[in-house]
Amino acid sequence: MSVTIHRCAACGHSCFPARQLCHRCGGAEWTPVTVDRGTVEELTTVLHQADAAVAGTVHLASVRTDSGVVILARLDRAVALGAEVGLTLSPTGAVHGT
Amino acid sequence: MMAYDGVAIIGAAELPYARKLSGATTVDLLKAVFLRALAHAGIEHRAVDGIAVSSFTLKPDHAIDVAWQLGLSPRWCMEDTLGGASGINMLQHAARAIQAGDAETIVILSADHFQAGDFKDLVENYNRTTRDHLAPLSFGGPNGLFALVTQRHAKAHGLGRADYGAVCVAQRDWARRNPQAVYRSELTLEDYLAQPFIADPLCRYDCVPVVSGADAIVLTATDHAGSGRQVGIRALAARYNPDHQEGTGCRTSLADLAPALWRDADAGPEEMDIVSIYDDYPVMVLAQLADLGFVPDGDLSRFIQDRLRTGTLAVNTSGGQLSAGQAGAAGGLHGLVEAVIQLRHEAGERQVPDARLATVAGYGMVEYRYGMCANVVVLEGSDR
Repeated sequence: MSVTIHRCAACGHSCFPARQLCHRCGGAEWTPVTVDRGTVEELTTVLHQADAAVAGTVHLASVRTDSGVVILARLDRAVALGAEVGLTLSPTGAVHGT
Repeated sequence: MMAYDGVAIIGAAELPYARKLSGATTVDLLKAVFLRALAHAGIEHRAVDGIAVSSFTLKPDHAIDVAWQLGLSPRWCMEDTLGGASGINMLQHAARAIQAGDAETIVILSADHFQAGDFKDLVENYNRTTRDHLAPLSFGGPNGLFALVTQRHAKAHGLGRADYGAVCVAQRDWARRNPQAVYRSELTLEDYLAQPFIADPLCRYDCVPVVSGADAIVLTATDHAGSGRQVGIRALAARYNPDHQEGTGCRTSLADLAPALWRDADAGPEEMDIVSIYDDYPVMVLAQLADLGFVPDGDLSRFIQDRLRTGTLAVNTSGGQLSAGQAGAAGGLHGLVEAVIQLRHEAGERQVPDARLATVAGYGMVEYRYGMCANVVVLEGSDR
């Protein structure tokens, strides 16, 4: 599935995750916009997870899309900062960057 | 801002924090800290006519159930959910209630008792955004998020691991003089730098030890305060959602609040004897101190060495949550309790001589990328 961000129908400001009202103008109508890629701004490798049954490694990235919206994504592998990644949404709601 | 005249903090208490605590519930901790706070304030049970409660592990109970459990018949009751900003939020509301005459003596309580699975449940269901968008990423709570915040902060200020480590070391030096701190052994910068990453660039000493514990303070109308040392509110300010999660997370609302705060307090950062900063991660200690104006030249690296490592600026004198422990919502009161104890000159080996003015800042409630909430109070201790 593709990742959907939300553009305010009144002022055009985009946000993610979805909100009820636009913080810029108070608008209540949103237009869904599909995003399929973004630029990795920061990346960390989380080694120990809270109460994890099995210790795992997660590459967590802050990814900026063309609209300016920052999305947190899980990457398959570490990439260089500034790299462009494709974004997809898993059925569980996780954004994956590849 | 209307002044906070006529209100005094007359008592403060903290139960010793514990990493593992068996045979007690959250309500048991609330009872114990309530009794300790009454004793510290020197007031009777029947004097309490207001109660505020904050806890992540209270369900299915709420504040009114705690009042019932404690045998209280309050005419003012509040439940708070602002996590690391809860202590100052409850203080703000309680002080105004006393000024307005809605209550005379209010006890502010917070406690959390984490059992197996509670912490995982908390971090995965913190709010709807977390449940729907963060938990599916399976990165296990806020460490990953604040690793990203720390990276942005380090890049913006030219800081390295040793700088953040020095914040942890400075707080540990205070904790060594706090018999109630969870971590009391010496921490050297070499020890810190030798630790493996938990989430690059964070290691275990950057991440608060989660504990069970409880904190409380007692407020009353100044007319009814007895003799002895008491603590008044010079100024208090709060703002939530300043940038709607669209900034870097390295600048809190305290930056916007600082000019009016110092004007209302009729004092400046340079006059503060005690500073308590909500320290979920060292990066947020530095961010809040800078936002409040404690680093006038903006040179954070030198500030850390000259003011924090030397202890000449007394920041988080309990050791902070990084060393004393993070007791869930009770962490929102931890810095306030420490400041009150210091201003009453009861802090024992870690007492800052003649402490008179204190700043306490609260921070917390991660929505998607970092905390939404920050608030701050300037306190003054005086003899009466």
